[in-house]
Amino acid sequence: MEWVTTTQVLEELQSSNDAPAWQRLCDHFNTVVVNFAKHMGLSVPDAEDAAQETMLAFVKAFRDGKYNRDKGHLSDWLFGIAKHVILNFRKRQPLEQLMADKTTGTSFWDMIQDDNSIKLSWETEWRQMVLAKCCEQARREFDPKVFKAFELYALTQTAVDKVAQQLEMSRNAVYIAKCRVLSRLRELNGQFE
Amino acid sequence: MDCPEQETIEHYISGQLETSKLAEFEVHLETCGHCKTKLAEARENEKLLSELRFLGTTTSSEGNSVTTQRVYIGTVERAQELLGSKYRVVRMVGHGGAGEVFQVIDTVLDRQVAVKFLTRKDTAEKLNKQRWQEARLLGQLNHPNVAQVYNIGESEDGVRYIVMEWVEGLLLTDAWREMSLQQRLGLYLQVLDGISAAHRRGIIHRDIKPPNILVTAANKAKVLDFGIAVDEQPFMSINESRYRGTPAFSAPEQITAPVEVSPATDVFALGILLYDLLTDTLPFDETDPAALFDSIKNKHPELPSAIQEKIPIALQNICLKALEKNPHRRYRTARDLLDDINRYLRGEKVWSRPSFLLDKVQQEVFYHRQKLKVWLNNELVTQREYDKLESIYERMMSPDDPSIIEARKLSLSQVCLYLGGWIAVLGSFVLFYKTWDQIPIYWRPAPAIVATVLMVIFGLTMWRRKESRLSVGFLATANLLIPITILLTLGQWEILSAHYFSWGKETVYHFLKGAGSYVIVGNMQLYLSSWCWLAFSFLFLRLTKSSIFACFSIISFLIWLTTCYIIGGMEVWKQDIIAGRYLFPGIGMFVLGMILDRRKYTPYAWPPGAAGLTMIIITLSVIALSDQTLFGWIYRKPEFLKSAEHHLLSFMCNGVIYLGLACVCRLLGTRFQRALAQVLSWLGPLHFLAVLRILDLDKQNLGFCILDLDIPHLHRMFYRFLLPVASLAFVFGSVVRQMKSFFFSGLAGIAASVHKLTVEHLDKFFAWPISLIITGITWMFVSWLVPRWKASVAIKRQQ
Repeated sequence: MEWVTTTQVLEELQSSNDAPAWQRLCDHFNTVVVNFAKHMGLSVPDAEDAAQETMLAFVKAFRDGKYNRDKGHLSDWLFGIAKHVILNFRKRQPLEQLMADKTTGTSFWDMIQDDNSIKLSWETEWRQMVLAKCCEQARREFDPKVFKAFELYALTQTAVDKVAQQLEMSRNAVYIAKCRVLSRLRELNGQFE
Repeated sequence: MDCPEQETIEHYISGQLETSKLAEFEVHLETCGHCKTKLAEARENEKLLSELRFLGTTTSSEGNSVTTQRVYIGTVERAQELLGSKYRVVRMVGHGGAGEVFQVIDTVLDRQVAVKFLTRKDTAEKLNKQRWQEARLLGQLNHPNVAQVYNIGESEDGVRYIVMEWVEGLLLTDAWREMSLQQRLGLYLQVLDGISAAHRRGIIHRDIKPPNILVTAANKAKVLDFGIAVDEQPFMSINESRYRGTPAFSAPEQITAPVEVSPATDVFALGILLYDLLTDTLPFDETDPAALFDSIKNKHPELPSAIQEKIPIALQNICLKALEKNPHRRYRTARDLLDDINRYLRGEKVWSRPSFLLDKVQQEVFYHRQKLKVWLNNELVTQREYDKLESIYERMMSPDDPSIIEARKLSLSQVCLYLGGWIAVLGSFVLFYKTWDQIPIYWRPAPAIVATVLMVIFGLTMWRRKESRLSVGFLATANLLIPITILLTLGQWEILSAHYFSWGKETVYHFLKGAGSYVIVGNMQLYLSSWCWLAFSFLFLRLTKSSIFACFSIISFLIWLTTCYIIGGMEVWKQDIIAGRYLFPGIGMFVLGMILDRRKYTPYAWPPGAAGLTMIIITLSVIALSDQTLFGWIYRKPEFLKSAEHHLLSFMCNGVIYLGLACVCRLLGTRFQRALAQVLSWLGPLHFLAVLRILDLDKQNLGFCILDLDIPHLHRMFYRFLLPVASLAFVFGSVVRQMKSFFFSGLAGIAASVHKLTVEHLDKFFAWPISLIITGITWMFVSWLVPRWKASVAIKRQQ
């Protein structure tokens, strides 16, 4: 999969009305919305439907010029749409009545999240998506051995000596691999949004 | 210094850089812009890495997240269908991404219960046998502060559920908002009580947080969702393989691979709860998960007393100890935490200290000590100031372990522990010094051997389990038993006894005979047992660093030394000079002090060092007064000297010995040895001049007796002139090595000489005091003018 920034996705969406632009949008954001919807308690089919509905609402609003990038992050705007859509989905389920009476019931059972945790959940999904895409791109760019050294040492926290021995590198080369990959990931992260 | 490798930067950021390299690297950083940039970049990288680790971001080329399958209960009817007729489902009380909970009536027992369905398929599958077993154990746990698990089951469709006690009440944090600190602590103690009961059964909660603790109308705290919450309630749908729990209440080990959960994990969450109790805020409250996890892993919380001024420091320390990053530094279980809080409530001293504060202090002290050395080299501080500060810093760097301090306290349990140990020692001793014909010879040492081995094993096991207080008790008992057991074994089995060994004179036998002993102890046996005792005392001292073993080391060393002394045939000396028998033990103790000091046991070096030095001084003084001589070559009496003169000259020899010892101590150069050198350097000149003064005395009526040294007139005249000469030599000689002791002794000697001159020759000559004053003032002026004159001459020469 090629490296596409959010700016590119939005520009394409603005200029063309064809299927590839829509597909690219879905590739970009669909997983985030599906996971978020699942976390909000929707079943998988409902979550996928909710994601579809969110995308449609997003494209419509975007083309109507309601989104101005100078006024806020795309993530926040998409969150507003997704939350609205998902809450509508939940209203269709016979669960809301069960939220009542927080003090007399065992409130800990009340697993319906408050606004903060909903937002936290969304931000986590979003960051995971962004970082996953950056990692995919970095993997494509770097020598496999260098990226493997980064993965083993930095992510899976394997001992540096073990990584150096396994990949036949010096210890310092492992440290440098970690530094280079992370620096590139930071660049990609900056470019993405 | 060249720019360091990437490895050094990595280690610097992670705080693993060796202390020796740390200062060097920091100095380099101040001057190298390139390294500064690299460091800043590495820090930014670490933040991103922390986020990557927390999110468990996949780096696989596929990169797609796995969809989680859920079992959906959704309605009361479906729940009823799954539970069957034994239960009547009333309503659903909660649902979310994790599970679904229903309020249910148990129709058989006619009581309200809560049923929790494990709705995540993957979770239910992961709820392996062990955790299921844990749920079973929890079912057996009947504690007033834990919501009981009544039943666990599986429906025909394979949906697992847990039937629990139905609890109504307020969240803990809501309940204690209007309460005083004492009332809050009361509730908190209930929570601790419940959790420690579970810890005792090996059950770990893993997700302690306010929503899992309810306070009932009867003001009773109930801990819910025990041991199960984690598998059922992962935080967010991501990263489940790595993370279980609630972010703000997670322990560092829960969010670091590999995840290792222990009762200390619960202690961390309890620490957060205590922090909330004390300050009404959370210690880690970042909203961004990556930042939050970074804080939990790497940052220390703000001191509670900085948020709420009135928080007792003991409670703050307890809280921060529970929040230690390293689980091994935390309270091991909720019980330990409970004990410390109870200790606080009883008004007892709480020894807990958060290690990060100590680390911080030690780091600062380390830097300051480095600077102090530089200041000393540049003479910005004097040696004396340096020593004083060093001694304070040393104490700060190695404070006594709280458990050791605890072990010194005489609590009931402590008294019982030591009393038990003492009785065991006495028993072994009785076994040793009486003959027990009822027991066959080869079995007589058995009880003592068994007791010793048991004590050692228990002591070491307790030490490994970090039960230091008990460990010290057991090891101390073992330490006392060791020499007795060895003597008993050697004596009963006739090993190295007097019959077979030429050096085996029965010394101890003579000593014990008065106590009605039948045992004959050979000197070699005594030698071996005292040597073993000494070796074990040292081993235990190294292990525990408890001062009790330092005491044992000293005693065993003295006994060992005495045995050497006896074996060497030196007991003959003691027949001549009583003091002689204490000289070698004194030297031994002094040397022991030196050794302990060299081995960095300075606090333990003081008692033997000081006691040894005192013994040396006393014995040398007594020997000097004695008609007998220990070292003939030092104290050989010249024919032409009379007895009193000889004794006094012997004192002068002692002064020289002290000065020699002072030189040795100063050469060895540690702070402790410099202190000894200081004492000795005062003793040397004082002995010398005081003796000169006494040697010059005529027949004196001291009131209670007449002192008549009977020194020939010629000799006395010699000493009379020698005193002022030596005094002046001391005063001026002190300049060479800044020897204050010589200077002040010299001044005292001059005063004595002036006094003598005044009394004997010049008491009626009025010009004498005036000439003294004039001489003094002249000296002062000369000493003021001469340097000025020398300086002006030097300037003229330069011009």
